[in-house]
Amino acid sequence: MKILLIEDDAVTAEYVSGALAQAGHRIDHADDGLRGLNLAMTGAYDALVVDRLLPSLDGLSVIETLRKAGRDTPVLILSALDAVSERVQGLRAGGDDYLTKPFAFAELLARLEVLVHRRRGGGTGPATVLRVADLELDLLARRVRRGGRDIELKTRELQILEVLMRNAGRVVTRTMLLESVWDFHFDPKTNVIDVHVSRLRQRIDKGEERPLIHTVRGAGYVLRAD
Amino acid sequence: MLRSIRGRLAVATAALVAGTAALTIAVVYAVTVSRVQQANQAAAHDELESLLSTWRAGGLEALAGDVGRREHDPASQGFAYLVVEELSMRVAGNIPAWPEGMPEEARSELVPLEVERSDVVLVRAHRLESVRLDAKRSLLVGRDSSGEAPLVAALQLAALGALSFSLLLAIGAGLTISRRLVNRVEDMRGTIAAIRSGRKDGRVAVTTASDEFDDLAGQFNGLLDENDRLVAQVRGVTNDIAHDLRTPLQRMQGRLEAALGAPSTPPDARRVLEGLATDTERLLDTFNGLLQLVSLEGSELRRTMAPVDVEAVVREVTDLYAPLAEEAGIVLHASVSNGLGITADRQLVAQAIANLVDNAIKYGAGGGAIEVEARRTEGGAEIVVADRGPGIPPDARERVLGRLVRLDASRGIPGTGLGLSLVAAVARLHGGSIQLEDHRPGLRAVLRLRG
Repeated sequence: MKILLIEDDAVTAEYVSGALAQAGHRIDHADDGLRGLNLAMTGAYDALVVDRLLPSLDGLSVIETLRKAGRDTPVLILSALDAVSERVQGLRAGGDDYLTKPFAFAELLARLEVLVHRRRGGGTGPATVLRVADLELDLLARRVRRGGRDIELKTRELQILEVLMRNAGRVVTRTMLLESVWDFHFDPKTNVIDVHVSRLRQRIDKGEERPLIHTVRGAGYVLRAD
Repeated sequence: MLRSIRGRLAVATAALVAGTAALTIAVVYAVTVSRVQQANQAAAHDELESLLSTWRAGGLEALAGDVGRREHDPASQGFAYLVVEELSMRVAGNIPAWPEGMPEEARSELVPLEVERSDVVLVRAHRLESVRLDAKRSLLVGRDSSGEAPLVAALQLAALGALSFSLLLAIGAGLTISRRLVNRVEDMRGTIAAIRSGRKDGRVAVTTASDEFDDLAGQFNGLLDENDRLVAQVRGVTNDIAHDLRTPLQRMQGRLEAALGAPSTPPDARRVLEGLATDTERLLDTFNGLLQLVSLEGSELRRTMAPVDVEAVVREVTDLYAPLAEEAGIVLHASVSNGLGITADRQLVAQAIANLVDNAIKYGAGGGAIEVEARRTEGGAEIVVADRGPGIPPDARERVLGRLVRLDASRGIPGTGLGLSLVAAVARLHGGSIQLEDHRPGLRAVLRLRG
């Protein structure tokens, strides 16, 4: 992916670009709003990472200007302001996702990949049946089958499975699951999500030769056939 | 009304003023009436004494003459006389007959008496005094006291009027004084209430009167200023520490992640790094928790208030935690009233309930069931999370709501000591409260939210 990072804090910028480069992505970095907007208007990026507070032009104005100009590059907002109102404002200005500092790099990367994938038409399409390997989720009938066997799932397990399947092959973090399934934007401290996923895994993978749900250390989960 | 200071003060002031007035009026009334009565009685006595001296000097003949003369003397008008033999035969005087029941030697209260005056017989109230002259004869003198009754009546009327007037005045004075005092107190109370509900810049008005209340208001405002300064200082320090340490910690976490992800890292180092990563995460949790508390206590979150269905939030939280509880061998049971809508910040309410449920699972260990209830209360909602664990000793219940407080019994369980502080901050922001009670056995946390 080619990513533009607009961030004035040198330490965060170095940390994020270093880690993104290490993960095999190409990074451009702008350290103020105007320069960032300029780059975003002229370059072809897969995603933008924009800090909320920037010199010369603040992050939200950058995004608004970009959207008015018809640019729909996915934007991930970074902010030290952890309040629901801030998140709502950010998304209203045209941001696609919102990440509060401090964050684990794995969280940023996972969110970026999901954003880019979604913008390319995946993940949220009108599909009514999702398929990964021999696993099949019928969204209308709310029915899950693996191989020839029907799998009974509770509502929340079904929702978790849907998120994992829509993002098959990409890491989905615990926070992302908490946000998309429960719409909770806080850290529940205890490993509540792990217990949910392990139950789901029991039903999907138990007795199967090839497990589909994998744990990614320090990041989250990925559903993939390998 | 009687339970408020205003009512009691008004009644006390009115009672004091009215009581004083009533006492004064009563004394004046009693003294005046008795003076008038005594004056009449004394006049009768003096007249009797004067006639007695005539009797002693000149005997019956002189006495009869004296009586006859006085009957027609304008100076002796208002007196009535009777000299009798055997209490039945009139020897002299203008009273036709000895009054029935009147002893030979006595004084009487007011008695109606027939008196002959220039060929007419009048009936008037008199004060009488009688004396025995010798074995056969007696003398009776009466003083016309018919003026007393109208005087007493007039006095009574005046006293009653004065009393009513002073009572009205007393009530008015009581109300005015108490209103003035209470208004000042009320002003302070209102300011304190406003400050407690988040208007931290509120101050008590200081008047130009420079009285004790103004002094008190000044002292109080000074205290508030000092308090604000200290809070700002502490908050500033906390903010700075958390901000300054958060960035390097975050970088550290990134580097640890990278090192753990690198295939070349030897297993021994990996174990150490894993430990470090866990510690770093815990530190970051604490800093994040602290910073969230700081921003909540700064309380500018009111604009995120929106209609929230508490029932739905409780169900979402309980179904998030149900599997975790089950793993711990605990049944998580929710009973919620339908349509429990309040105005609140959904994320914060959810986080507060989540913290309570999380605590109940962590610290309510070994106890069969956790009950989560939510119901409507007057002006808001009440959420109860009750476990059957060891509970919290009464003397520690207030303390555990403070920042970074962890009881010895929970040292072995991971946690930041900020969970309940956050619940308390959320409660305060929603004009509510968090109360920890004995569930006999276990802990019963009652979260009240207004809105």
